[in-house]
Amino acid sequence: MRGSGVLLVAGLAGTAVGVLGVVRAAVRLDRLHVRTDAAWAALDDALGRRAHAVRALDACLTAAEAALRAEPVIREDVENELGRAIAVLDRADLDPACAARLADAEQRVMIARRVYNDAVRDTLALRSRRMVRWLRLAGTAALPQYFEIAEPQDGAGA
Amino acid sequence: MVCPYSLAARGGVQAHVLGLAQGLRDLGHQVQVLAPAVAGAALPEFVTAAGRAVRVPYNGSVAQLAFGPVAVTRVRRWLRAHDFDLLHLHEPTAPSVSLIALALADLPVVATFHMATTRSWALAAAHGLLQPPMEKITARIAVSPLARRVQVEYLGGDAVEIPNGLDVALFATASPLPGYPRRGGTVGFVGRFDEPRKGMPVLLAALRTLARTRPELQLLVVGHGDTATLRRAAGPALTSRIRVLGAVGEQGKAAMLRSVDVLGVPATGGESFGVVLTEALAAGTPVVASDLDAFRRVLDGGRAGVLVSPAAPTALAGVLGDLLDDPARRAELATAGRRRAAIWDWPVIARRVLQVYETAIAADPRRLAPGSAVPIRSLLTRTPR
Repeated sequence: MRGSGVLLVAGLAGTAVGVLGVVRAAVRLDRLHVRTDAAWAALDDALGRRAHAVRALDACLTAAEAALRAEPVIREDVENELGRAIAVLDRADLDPACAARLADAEQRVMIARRVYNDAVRDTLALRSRRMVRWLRLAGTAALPQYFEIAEPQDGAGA
Repeated sequence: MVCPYSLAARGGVQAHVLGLAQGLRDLGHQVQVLAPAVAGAALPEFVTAAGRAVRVPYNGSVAQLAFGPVAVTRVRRWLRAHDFDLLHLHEPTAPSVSLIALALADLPVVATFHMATTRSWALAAAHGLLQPPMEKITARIAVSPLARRVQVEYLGGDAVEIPNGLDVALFATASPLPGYPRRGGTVGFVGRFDEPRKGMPVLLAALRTLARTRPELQLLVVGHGDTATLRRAAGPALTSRIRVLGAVGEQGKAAMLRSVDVLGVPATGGESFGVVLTEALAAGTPVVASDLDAFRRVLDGGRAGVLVSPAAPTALAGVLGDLLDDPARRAELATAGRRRAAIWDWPVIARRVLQVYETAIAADPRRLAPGSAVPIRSLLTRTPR
């Protein structure tokens, strides 16, 4: 009798630990999804700023307009196109204030992209765990995707 | 801003935290720093002491860290006492107040990674345990390409690269040592001169050649090492030409850099950045450095200083000799160096860090109103590969 009692207690404790682990994973996952969404909002904002900065230059107008209107499906291609258009600009020709604003906008795109891809990476890592997959802790949330665009090679500084 | 290492020991991370905090304050921002230190220690007024640090062998050296219930209480009290918009943690993987703050934080977090060890069993072992708190970091900064690589390879993240800052004014305005700059040519060396990797043997060989035709040539040395061994290595012809100042601190180093005609940095490898190069550029001291990746980056591909093949005494002697004979070229290099050094000035670095802060705040979930989460999610699902 006493043996089965101990077993029962051990079983209950084991279940409790298991449930706690699942709840913890679910909370983490939810937090990561929210983080990814917020990071996307920031990246979207930074990309918009860059397109606006370029539009203000009166150069590469077509590419900037396209980026501002882009359907999310082709967002990376369009932003890459804009990036290439910016790369061939001769900065020395630009109005210094505009050039500074463009450099700032480019830097912010780079930072926001890192922030977003970090959030995606953490989310994907947790979602690839067996427990999360088997128990469908992610629910109906879509798998987040990395945002891959080319970065200008010559950043500010060393 | 939280620094994990005790301010009683002055290291690179501590100098970075204090320099950055001051730079941000100079730009008009409110910054508070929390770091292990004993109460009553002489600290800037914006620093809060997080208690006594324990000396722990960590990451190949002895670090002074604070942890335990007292540290947790101090961190919690500090976070409550200030209504922060953002928390900037330095080296959050070190078991100290940064990690505690990360666990307690409920606000946007930016983390700066300084460490550049490519192999750390402690990090590898702690990866699973560290993952949940690390998920709270919104944006990451690495101080060097190597530190960024540690990020990518061991901690599963990417980072924005922003180098260490530099007190440009200190080096630009220091007074030279009494009697300097002197006639006859003075070559400088900064660093641990008994570590062969730093290249002192190469420099000595080069100077032996130069000394034959330059009776007044002097080598001025700042840094740790055994002077007697250095003099033996220099040989009888050169030993009288060497003046060793030893370990002299920041002020002394600035004065020395302002005193020499040219600084030799003949390191043979294993350099990740080259702080002394940036200091020399700020001081307007012409630099001759080994053509290593890190040095080439600092010297802007050779525009801000002269690059020579590593471990090639003859080439080094040639370049040093030409520079000593050519005051116009030295003046040119000094101007180019000062212009280059401006990119590491703390206010400039602080502005770049601010861009990261602003992105982290823009990417803060708390900014999303509950209703707005749905449209953004739908946008996200349509983001392509």
